[in-house]
Amino acid sequence: MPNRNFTAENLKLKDSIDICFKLNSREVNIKVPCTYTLLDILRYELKHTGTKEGCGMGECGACTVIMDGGIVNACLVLSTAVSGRDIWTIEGVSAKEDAKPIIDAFVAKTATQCGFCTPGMVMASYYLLSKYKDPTDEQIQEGLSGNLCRCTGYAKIIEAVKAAARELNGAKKEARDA
Amino acid sequence: MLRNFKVLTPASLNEALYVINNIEQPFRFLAGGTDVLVRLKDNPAYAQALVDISKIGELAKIEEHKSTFVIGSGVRHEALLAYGPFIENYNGLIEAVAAIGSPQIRTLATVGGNIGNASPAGDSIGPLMAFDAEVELRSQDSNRIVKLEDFFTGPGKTVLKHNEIITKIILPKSDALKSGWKRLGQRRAVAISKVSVTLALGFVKHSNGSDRIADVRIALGAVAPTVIRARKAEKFLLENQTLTKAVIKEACGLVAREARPITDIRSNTEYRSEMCGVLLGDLIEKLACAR
Repeated sequence: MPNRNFTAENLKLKDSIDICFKLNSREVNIKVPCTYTLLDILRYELKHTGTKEGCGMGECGACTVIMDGGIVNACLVLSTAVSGRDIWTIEGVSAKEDAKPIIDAFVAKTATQCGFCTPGMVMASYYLLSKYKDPTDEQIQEGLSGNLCRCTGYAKIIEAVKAAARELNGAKKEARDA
Repeated sequence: MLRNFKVLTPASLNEALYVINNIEQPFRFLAGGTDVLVRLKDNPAYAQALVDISKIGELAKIEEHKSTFVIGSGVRHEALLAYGPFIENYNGLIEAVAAIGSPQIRTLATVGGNIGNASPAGDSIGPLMAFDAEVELRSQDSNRIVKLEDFFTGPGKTVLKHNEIITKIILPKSDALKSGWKRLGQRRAVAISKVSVTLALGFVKHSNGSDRIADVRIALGAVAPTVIRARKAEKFLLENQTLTKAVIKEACGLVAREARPITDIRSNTEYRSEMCGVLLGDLIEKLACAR
């Protein structure tokens, strides 16, 4: 060992890796090929298929998940970068109270057609509404700029985000008034 | 699915320097991964080995010193965008970094990665170059500082040696400069720039009360083999000192002639050159009016 502070395992070329991370608040320990991305781990190893694979190149946002509090493309996170992270997927987020108005608004405003982009759209919207309570059109467009939809043309999606913001703000107000 | 490469996962800068000094096969760094993984998907031969430096905490800090800001190469774009002093005084840098990729990509992608990737269209490079940034390159037994302008030698090519890592970006404090950045791309998000222009201007009050130009920096992206400074246009504006219509027009013409763009899938030579001038004109107007 060249330096006693070094860890032998870190200095080796690896084909596979043991990783430990939090997924929707549950701890996951798993051994995977190093070439797997977070998206591969979620879909093929853990069968969490809510996160979709669209382009697989960071362009479409169908695989948007929350990692350590920020949104990322799961297809651009390599297995070796997953250890120790706090990951939330659509399976975890959709069970949260403050995501319900977003999902309801997507349905009410028919902001989905084929539905393939929807989990990613909901994740990006959820993150956006955690940052801005009452986002402007421009903030919504910017917040969803990493997500492609090939069916609805975005107008209904933006309407849904606005409706969700109103609902969330109304719910907070009611809670305060009560 | 990606395949056929191995990964090294050094947990500290010292471990990383050790492994790249001793590794036998060709390798690529994995920092944000937003370029490397896309290229590997396109071309499995792009790398046989990756050195994952994405979790080295000591590379992910921004520090303020007396006359400089030191940005760790592993600082993510989102972290840079949230840094108060940059929001206050480095508008051109903020505008450029905010236009990179998408929110999802900016959460992952790093400042050092955008530089190391050495794309002529790398959006953060123009403003950093305009602010006279330098990079610190470290190996196990050396440490050197290189001006960002001297770091690139061609598209995807730099002076970085096989056993070196970009560790820091050193940004001189330049509170007196007003800056801005503009680009043209196919769409607003997730698009590679066809042309980008950075302008930084410093003014002084002349005895007759008018504003005179005391400092000019212009950087051009996607119009040469590397991001470049437009020295002729800078010199011309500095010599003329006052921003009359004629002076602005001449500077825009100069900058269009300093560009050496190619024609490719994204745009063509003539359009790119012309647009350098147009974007510079827009920026001059914006910065001169914003005071």
